Amino acid sequence: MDAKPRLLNILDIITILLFVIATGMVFLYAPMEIVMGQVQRVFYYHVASAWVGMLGFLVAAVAGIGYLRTGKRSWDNVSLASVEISVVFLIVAIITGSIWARPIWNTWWTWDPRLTTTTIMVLIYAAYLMLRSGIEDPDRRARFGAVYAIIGFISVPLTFLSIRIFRTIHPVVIGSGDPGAEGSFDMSTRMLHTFIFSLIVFSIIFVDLLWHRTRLGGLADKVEQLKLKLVE
Amino acid sequence: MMMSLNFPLSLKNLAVMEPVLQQLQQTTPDTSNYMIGGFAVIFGAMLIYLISLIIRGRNLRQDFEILQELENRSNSPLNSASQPEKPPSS
Repeated sequence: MDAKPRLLNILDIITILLFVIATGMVFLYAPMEIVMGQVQRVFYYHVASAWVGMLGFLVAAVAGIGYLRTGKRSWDNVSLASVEISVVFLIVAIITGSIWARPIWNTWWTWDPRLTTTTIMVLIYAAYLMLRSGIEDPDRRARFGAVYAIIGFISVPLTFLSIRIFRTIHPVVIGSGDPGAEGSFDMSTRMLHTFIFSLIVFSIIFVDLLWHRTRLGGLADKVEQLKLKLVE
Repeated sequence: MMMSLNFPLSLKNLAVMEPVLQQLQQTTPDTSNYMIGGFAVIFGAMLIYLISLIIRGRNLRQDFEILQELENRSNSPLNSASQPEKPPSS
């Protein structure tokens, strides 16, 4: 069994420190938005969580291509780890968005294009996790996972662009959105600093979690191989 | 038609605007409970996921050690000696 790499220990410490700093910035450095009040602070981690979710699906698709080209199981391991982490973060993004929407839109949920496409995207990848676990042959499972991750990735740009293509009430953070969007606000310099820092910190959290989850996947592979060997 | 505000920005005017600004601040809704709920979800979900990783890792390590021990036992010469010899195929 491989010992935990020293670099991973360092990354763990850096990640925790950065997360504490980011949380401090969200509560102490960024000013309160005057129209929405304190709930606007959720926005920094809501967007960062959604960003990590989409980043993870991109990594999964790239890892899928890597597996189909090389046939190496480590690519499949990365793909699975990315999808799992992304689903967790996207569920967080959906729930925090819903909590933000209650006082701002006066509803917990509405079938807005962004909310709908995000839900579909999460369901697509939740199905990936469930279907994978139903395939016993490791090679077939990896091949299926790779193809699914590549095709499933179509939902990501569709979700990202949904607020720019369709009429929507979801605010657009970067660029100009629909004039009918509710909850839009102009970011002050401090808000922008906090927002960008949160995005960077969440990306580092993703890398850290991905490393841990990939190691776990490697161990699961070894256990599976040992089981097969003993059965034979 | 747009109305232009052409009065000079002075301390006197700012003093006039102060009650308006105060009123604006008072009209900011108290959404603290939603903020607390949102951050509880973020921190809670991250914590649960971390715990799940730790538990899964610990279980897999235990499984790995047990399986390795079983494999070592099945490969040990004592174990192979105790196994009955196969009869000649002729």
